[in-house]
Amino acid sequence: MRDRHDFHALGTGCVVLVTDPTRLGAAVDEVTAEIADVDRACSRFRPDSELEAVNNNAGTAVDVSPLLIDAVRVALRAAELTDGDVDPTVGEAMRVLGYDRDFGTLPKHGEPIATLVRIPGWQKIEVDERRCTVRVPRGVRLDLGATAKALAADRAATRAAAVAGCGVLVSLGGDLAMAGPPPDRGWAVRVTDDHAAPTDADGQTVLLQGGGLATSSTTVRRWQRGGEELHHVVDPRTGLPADEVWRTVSVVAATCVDANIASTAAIIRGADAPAWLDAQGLPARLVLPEGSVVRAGGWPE
Amino acid sequence: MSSDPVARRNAGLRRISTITKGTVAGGLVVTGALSALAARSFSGTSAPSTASTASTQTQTQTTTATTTPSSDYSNSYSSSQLQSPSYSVRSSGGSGRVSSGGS
Repeated sequence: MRDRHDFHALGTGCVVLVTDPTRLGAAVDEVTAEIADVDRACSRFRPDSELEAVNNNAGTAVDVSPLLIDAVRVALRAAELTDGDVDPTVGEAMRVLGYDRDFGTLPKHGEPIATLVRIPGWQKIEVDERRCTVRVPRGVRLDLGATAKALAADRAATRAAAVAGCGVLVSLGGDLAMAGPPPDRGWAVRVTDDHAAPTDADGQTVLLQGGGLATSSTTVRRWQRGGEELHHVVDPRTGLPADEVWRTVSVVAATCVDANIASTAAIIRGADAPAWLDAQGLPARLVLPEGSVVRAGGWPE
Repeated sequence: MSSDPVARRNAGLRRISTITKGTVAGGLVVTGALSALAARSFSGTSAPSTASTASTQTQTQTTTATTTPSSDYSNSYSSSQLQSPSYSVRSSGGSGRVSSGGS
């Protein structure tokens, strides 16, 4: 009996693992339902999403669901805890850089970037939880990309474990959340450059008991404009892809959201990242472009 | 009724005092009853949002309005710092069940 289900959602490969194979179906149902909810609320590429309603009505307080309120709150907390390194107001910069549709349909070559976008800053976003509204200033577009995917993983794993009554691991494009009792030795996870890589690809296997693991990388989701190579981790200070000090950063935290915030911020912080991760007490594995590994926060050898 | 003006004045003062005490006691009872009724009617907790604690002038102080049940992860999202795992990550020699990498 299978204990694993692979599928495609949110523009990436997804996996559900369970400790009780008889409960795989129940877990998968919950995970797919949660992902559908998050996609409907938070997608930047769906014209019918709540996020697009907010982005297309900039300057106006837009009625949204509690789920989008949660997602925006998570994104704002990410910005606050990273001093703006992980900023959801990079949406317009992403669009100008050419990443304006699902990556699978994105032209991989195009004209040079004509203008750069100044990132307005997360402080400009207004969230009214009582009225359940979100407002962004004119000219601002939100991109909840990374944090929303991690939020979906956390919510899906928690929801699936509660219903299935067993341990559940959810991977959404390599961002992992675990809930319920883990396997005896823990969840064995291969940490590597690409989430779609085989589970024995170049990298390291770690055993996890719960919480979340996220990996941010500059080696995937790359495209060219005017012959210049671009990637999807934008530095809010420049409006351009972050300098490639690290090709991959993996972080373990109490939640997938926190792991994702830290791994994304580490890519943007560059050389300062290991000391920052140490100070946060977050186990992290950072890979330099030529392949050598730097460990921080108690990551094992 | 006594014709002594002093006695009549003292009797009046006693009546006023009795009425005042009764009014205060009745007010307390009504206030308590209304408070209990309100506490039963407006369940849940009020807390400033994460966004509102971000020292911004533009964000609105609000009441938590999510429908998500309370859980470890939702509590973690309110934390003012990133949360470490509650265990030590261990290395393993074999391959993994799943890969974590860029996507």
